[in-house]
Amino acid sequence: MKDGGFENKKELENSKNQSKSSKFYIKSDDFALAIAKVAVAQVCESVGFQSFQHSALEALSDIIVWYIYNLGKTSNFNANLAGRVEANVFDVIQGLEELESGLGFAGASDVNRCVANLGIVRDIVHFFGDGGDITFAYEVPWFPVVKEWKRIGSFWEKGEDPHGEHIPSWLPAFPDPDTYATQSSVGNGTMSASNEVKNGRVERKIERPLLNFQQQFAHNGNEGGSSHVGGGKG
Amino acid sequence: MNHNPQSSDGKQDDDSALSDFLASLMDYAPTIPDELVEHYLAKSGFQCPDVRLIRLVAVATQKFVAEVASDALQHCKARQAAVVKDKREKQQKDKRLILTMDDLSKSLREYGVNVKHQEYFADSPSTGIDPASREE
Repeated sequence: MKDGGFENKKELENSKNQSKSSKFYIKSDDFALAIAKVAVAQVCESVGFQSFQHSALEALSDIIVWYIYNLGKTSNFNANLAGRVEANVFDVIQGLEELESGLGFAGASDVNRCVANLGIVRDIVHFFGDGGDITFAYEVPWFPVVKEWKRIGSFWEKGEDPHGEHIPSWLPAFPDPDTYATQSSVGNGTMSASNEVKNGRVERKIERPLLNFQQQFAHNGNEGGSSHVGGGKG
Repeated sequence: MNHNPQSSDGKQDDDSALSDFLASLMDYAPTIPDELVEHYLAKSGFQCPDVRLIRLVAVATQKFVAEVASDALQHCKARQAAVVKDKREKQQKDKRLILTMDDLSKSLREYGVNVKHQEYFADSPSTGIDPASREE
């Protein structure tokens, strides 16, 4: 589908620059939202649209994400209400009932109805039967990807001796002394230029492994923090 | 699903219709991929090992999108028909159907979703005010 929302090329370039600058503001959901946008665009194309405004597509994909989330929340609530942890098809159908209750559906007023004969289910069955089979345009990998936790290793695992009796051997080992060595090499006005240059180079040499250590620590820390996103799958 | 041995034929038909439908879901994948649906369902706390339920949610979502999009399409076509009446020459140009925020907000309003698009964005609070009052 082509983008027909921009009147001239300049606006298009401005918007591209804008999207480049917004790259630094990365939400954790960007990948999923992008997939949702593609799926929504494909469905709109099948309905008959030939192009779209960016804002309209973003709004609709946001709403779709909200719809799925809300349906899951409602189904989970219905399952918990029945004393179950895992939801079943009737919980989902009841959740659909709640979401569509603004419009109404056939069979709602009938007390003795079977939930499977509701208008909602019949509508879905008809929709699925009528609509053509549109496959998603891309192959979607499983996400979020959970990286392996790189463990630092305890004193005992590394075969090192803890520095004192007060430190148990099952605690993580201290990092190498190189990474946190501090040489006092602060330049002041009385030092000569060559000394300053030398000290600058030494500082940089020390700072690099320290930086690497900090990055590694933050990296491992983030891995531990982000693994909870994919923790739902057991 | 519960199979009540004392259920009437009607109920058994309904149950079988539902189970047949769920089985058919596995043959034809909906447009919205399973991974996306599972991601958001996991976020909301929905737990189910059955893939057919994921597909059911995906199909329901796809139906919702299709309904909203077709309503927006009706609004778009109605607007174009009103314009084309006056200008027959531009009919060829206006054949492109574009999904706009206007049509989308109109069709979403019927589903209880209020979406309002900003008309314009002002640079500062004093934009658009008379120069005389702005100096004050």
